[in-house]
Amino acid sequence: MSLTIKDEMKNDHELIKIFQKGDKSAYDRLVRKYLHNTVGFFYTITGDRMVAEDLAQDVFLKLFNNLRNFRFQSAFSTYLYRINLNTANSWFARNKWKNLLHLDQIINQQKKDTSVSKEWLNKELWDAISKLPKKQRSVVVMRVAEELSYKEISTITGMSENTAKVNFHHALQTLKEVLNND
Amino acid sequence: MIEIEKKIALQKKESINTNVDEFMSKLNDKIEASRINRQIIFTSSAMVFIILLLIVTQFGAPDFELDNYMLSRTENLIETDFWNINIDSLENEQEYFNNMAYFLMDEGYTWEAVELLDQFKLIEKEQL
Repeated sequence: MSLTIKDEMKNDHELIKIFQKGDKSAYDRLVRKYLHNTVGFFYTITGDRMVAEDLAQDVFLKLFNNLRNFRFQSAFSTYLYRINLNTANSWFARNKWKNLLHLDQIINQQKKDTSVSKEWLNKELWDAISKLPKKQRSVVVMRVAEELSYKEISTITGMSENTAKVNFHHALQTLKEVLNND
Repeated sequence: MIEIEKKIALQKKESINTNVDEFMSKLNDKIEASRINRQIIFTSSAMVFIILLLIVTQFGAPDFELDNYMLSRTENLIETDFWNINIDSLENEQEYFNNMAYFLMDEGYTWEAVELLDQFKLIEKEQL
């Protein structure tokens, strides 16, 4: 029998309540449940398994430190998406500096020389996404990496559905210009 | 469909096989390290706060003012500094000089006691 979204939400909330009472095993169960989803999200963005796992660890560490303050006003998955998004934004910001300082120049060059593979296209696309304004970037990340609906994006980011749509549209235009210029 | 939309459509969330047990082990290590770091930060902050509090309140510092006050009070009462004995003191009765001489003897200042008495005699002669 498959669980509905409401049942899932209830299960998550029950696990969080158990964790808040001091049982860490409930936290472990939550991590195991959302681990692949979170790592997959970061892998789509970074294209690097190690980096994706490191970022996922950061997310779960933040979760551990903040889960005691969870107020049960939203679904746990929404809460986790928000942490994912913030962590992804921080990573984009860090990566921007790295690109600026040409620290990853050698790696880029190697990738460019081997082939114009899908991997390179992905990297090119995510480099362009990382240069978008924060709001546009958040919507694109949620749409592309998590395949979320505008409604879900509006719940996570706090912007209206229409604003999310407009931001996504502007982001596509910007990406088109940037990638065509390259 | 425009090129960028094609690229985005190609972006499917990739599933990678993560070793869950290894991941959990690393995560637990990080949680433990984070807990220790928090404790260190808390303890350091508490120590810095206590040190600042001690500096502000000057707890444990010697009260020089009180010591000086006691010294000056003692000097005023006993008048052990003979070069600064003021006239008022010399105009006191003989009893005062005798007490002072006894005190100096008790303290082991024999020659000073003798000198004090000589000085008293000299003053008496001058007055006569």
